Amino acid sequence: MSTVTFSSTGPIDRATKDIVRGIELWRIWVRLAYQDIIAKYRRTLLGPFWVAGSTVATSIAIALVYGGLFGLSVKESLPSIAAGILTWTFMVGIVFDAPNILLGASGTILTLPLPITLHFWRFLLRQIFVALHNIIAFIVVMLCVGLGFTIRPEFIPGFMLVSMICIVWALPLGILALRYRDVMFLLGYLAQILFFLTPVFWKPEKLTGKRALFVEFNPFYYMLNLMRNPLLGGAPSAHDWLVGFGLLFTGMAVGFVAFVLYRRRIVFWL
Amino acid sequence: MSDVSIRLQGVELNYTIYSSRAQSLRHVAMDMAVGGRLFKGSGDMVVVRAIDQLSFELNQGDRLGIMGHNGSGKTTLLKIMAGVFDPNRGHIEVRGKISSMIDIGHGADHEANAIDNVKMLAALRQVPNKQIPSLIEEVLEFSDLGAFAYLPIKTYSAGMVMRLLFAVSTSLEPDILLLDEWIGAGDAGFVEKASKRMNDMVHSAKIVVLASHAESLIRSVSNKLLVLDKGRATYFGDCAAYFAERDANAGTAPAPVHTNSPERV
Repeated sequence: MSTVTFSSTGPIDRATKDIVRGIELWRIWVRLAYQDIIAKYRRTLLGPFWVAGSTVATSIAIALVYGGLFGLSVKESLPSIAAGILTWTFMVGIVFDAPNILLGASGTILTLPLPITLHFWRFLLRQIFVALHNIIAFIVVMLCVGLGFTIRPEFIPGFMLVSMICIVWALPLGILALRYRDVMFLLGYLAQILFFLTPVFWKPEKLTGKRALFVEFNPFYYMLNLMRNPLLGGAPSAHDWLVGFGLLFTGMAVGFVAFVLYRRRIVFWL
Repeated sequence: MSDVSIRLQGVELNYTIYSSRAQSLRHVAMDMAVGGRLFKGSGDMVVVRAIDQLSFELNQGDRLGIMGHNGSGKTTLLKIMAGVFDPNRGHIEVRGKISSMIDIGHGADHEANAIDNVKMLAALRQVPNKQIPSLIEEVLEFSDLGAFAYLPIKTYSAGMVMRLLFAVSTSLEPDILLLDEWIGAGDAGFVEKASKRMNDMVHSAKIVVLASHAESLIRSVSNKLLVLDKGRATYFGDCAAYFAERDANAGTAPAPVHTNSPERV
């Protein structure tokens, strides 16, 4: 029993320990995420398939209207819209819901000495569970419209990379929104705008001239490619991977700096 | 010779309280626009020193009682020792497995049954997964819930919930036990069972820290005493000696050495 349980050392050391400990305690956040899902859908008959059903219903509605506007049949437009909505919901659910990761765990943060990063992993895993249900619904829809099973193995690394990008960016955004509560509303507002500016339900080639910049400088476009393309039988381009890893590493750097500087204050900002 | 210990050296903790003004971007932008002067000092942020320059050391066998008025920093100090708060200044080092009994019901889900709740509470308190089945068995046996164990805990009476939470929190086997007031529960039959279990837990822990208003309790449990007043220690040392001196002085506590009040920044 000679181990130091904890000790107040420098902020870099404590932030690093929080991150390492957060990973070490994976059994705890796996269990907590699982309990979250169980709790959320208790006493419902369809459970998580309500979420999947909503993704499918939204996709069909958009495919009907926009397919009509762009002169495409539902069968042509539905797959990319359904895969797009599924990917978009997953990304936005993490990046723009970041403030709620910390606020949702405030009771625990104020009572128990668990690492702060543990709550991020718990949240990520919960969102992954939901996304997996959506993917099952997507496969069913694809089989129903007669397009067969289109998912390629690149989906796994793509999905993992997008998950990591979202969660590392959620950390600094979550801290910022916790300190300045306006940011929380700003994020919701941005999510709405970005949904239209990102080629979720339209084709990026349709945007020409200066407007193409909305796509070119939109990080969500590259994340969309990383996760959506392999769902539709394609593959992300080398450029997509490059931008993806760039986003991951900048997110890690920004997140780490923010965490070192503000970790000890998080508990007071809740 | 064991290594279980708690060391605090010049520990200071400030609560920074943000008003809605300080938490809004518009006001930060306005503060910047006016050079950060006009709105400063108009109460956008209040700093309360909850713990001030606290140093002490506890080793195996120590049972520390903490006394002090409401707001004197008892719970804050327990939370620093639990690792929830990082001090602003000073150094703290804790060796040994800690269990804090601050808010023992935290993490309970009222829609879930007793078994799922035990799993959840245990996970939050870092109980290894492989110990959970035996923990469930033990808790169910002790809390005597019978068939209710399979019903959501919102259907329980307050006493039953208390019995469950008490059973879970006392089944952990810490080296260092942090208690915010004594915990007891239940009807006449259970009280005795509970107090025995609580005593066993206190006896088997290597260090116990108990914050309480109940003097008789502190006198019976502690061998060391810390008296807090507005975040400062007015007494630290032998428990029996403090009460002996105080009783000799006809029931008045030794006068506080320092006082400090919340300061505004």
